Amino acid sequence: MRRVAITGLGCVSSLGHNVESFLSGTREGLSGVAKTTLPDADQLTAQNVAEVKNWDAAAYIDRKTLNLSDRFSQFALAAADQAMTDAGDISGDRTAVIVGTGVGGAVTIEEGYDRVWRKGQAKVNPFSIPKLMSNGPPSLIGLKYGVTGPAFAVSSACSSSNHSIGTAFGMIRRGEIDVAIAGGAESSISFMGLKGWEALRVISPDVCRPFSKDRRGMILGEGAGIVLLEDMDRAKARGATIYAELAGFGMTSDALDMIQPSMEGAARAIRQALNSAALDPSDVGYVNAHGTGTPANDPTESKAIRAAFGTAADNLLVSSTKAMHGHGLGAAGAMELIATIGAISSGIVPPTINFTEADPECDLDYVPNEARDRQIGAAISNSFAFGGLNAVLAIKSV
Amino acid sequence: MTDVVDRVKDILAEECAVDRTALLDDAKLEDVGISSVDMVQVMFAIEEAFGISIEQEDMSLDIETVGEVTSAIQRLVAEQA
Repeated sequence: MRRVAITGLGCVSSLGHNVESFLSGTREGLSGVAKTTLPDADQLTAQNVAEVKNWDAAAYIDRKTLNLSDRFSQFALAAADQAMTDAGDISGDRTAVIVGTGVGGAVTIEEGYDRVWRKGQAKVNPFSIPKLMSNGPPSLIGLKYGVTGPAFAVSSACSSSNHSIGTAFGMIRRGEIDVAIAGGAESSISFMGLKGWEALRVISPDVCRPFSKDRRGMILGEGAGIVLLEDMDRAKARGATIYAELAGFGMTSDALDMIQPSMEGAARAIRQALNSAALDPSDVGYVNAHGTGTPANDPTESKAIRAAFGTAADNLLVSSTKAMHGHGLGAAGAMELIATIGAISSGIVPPTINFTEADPECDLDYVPNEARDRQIGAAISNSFAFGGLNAVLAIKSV
Repeated sequence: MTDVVDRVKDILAEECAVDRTALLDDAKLEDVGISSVDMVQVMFAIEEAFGISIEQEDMSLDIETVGEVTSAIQRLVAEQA
């Protein structure tokens, strides 16, 4: 089987519009969380979100493309541009574009409802349909870069990114393609989106405190993460910068509950990822946790990590960067893979911020509040979605 | 009514990202780089700008030039004013 190199990174997040701001922000323990800029914020119980700030899409995207791009596609296009900086020629049918999203064009849908039902206008934006469809990002990115190979969107809520990247990884490994633009994008911080989360009672009224005893829920984020994946031999032959090796992928389904997570389903996905990467638990130094900061996720994930790693769990550093950049849903996995790559390449593990008090149910080293120096040879990044869909990526330093 | 013509040309230039000075009355839309998909966005913008409604039959498929677009909009604005 072929090996897979990660040779390009792109990110738009609440911490900034590029990879540098994302990585420096997550190392420094900065927070992208603030009161929402939505006009009807006073009608929301929980008003804090991790929005992408001062977004000027026209600075990144030409006018005609912009007319066809929902906000989540705009993030994806901007992130793809960054990942393509050092890509060489990737046009043609040996390249794939696989970009996930949890919700799709939520902003476009809500604007349409707002026009017709609230403002009484007769017509909605003429490109509402192409804008809202979940395959906006892969289509727009493929069009821009002349990619004529497999292109599609993957949707599995909070695991969308990891399923996208894992799918692309498998295709390169098996020799079906040579290069893939993969990742996820999300922008569902809309009034109705926040109302929906509010009704589910999983949103924190202030900040996200993963694994901390006083955690009160997640903070919704948005953005995009895109990675360029490439056959390792091809990457080496063209002298590309190789950030890390994408070495393994595991995916399972709980088949148990739509909302409640399963320890066993998560643990099986972690074990699969380690097996796929031919990693022993003791080889792994860092876990970028799903770590939503909800009462249910964090103890379940901690137990799953213990179940999969055994005694090696005591030597792991485990952090949730979601406390800083928010829960990016369909973009989460790709953003967090970039944070994990950052940890491997810099030797600095990002912290879990807002950590105030240890919880006996969460008994791992969560790198509380301050980044930690640690040389990491291998790491995993977890995503566990509503609907019981688990997807775990494993990377190695090169 | 020249005001309508100017505003329609402004919208064509803005929405289609084309050079305003290329929008001569006898210029063919496709020659200045305006596609039928661009025209969908243009019609939406014109409806918003003039407060008019453009139905599918108002913009027949044989409209080929900038002048034919501006004439059609002038007519619709006059009818719906």
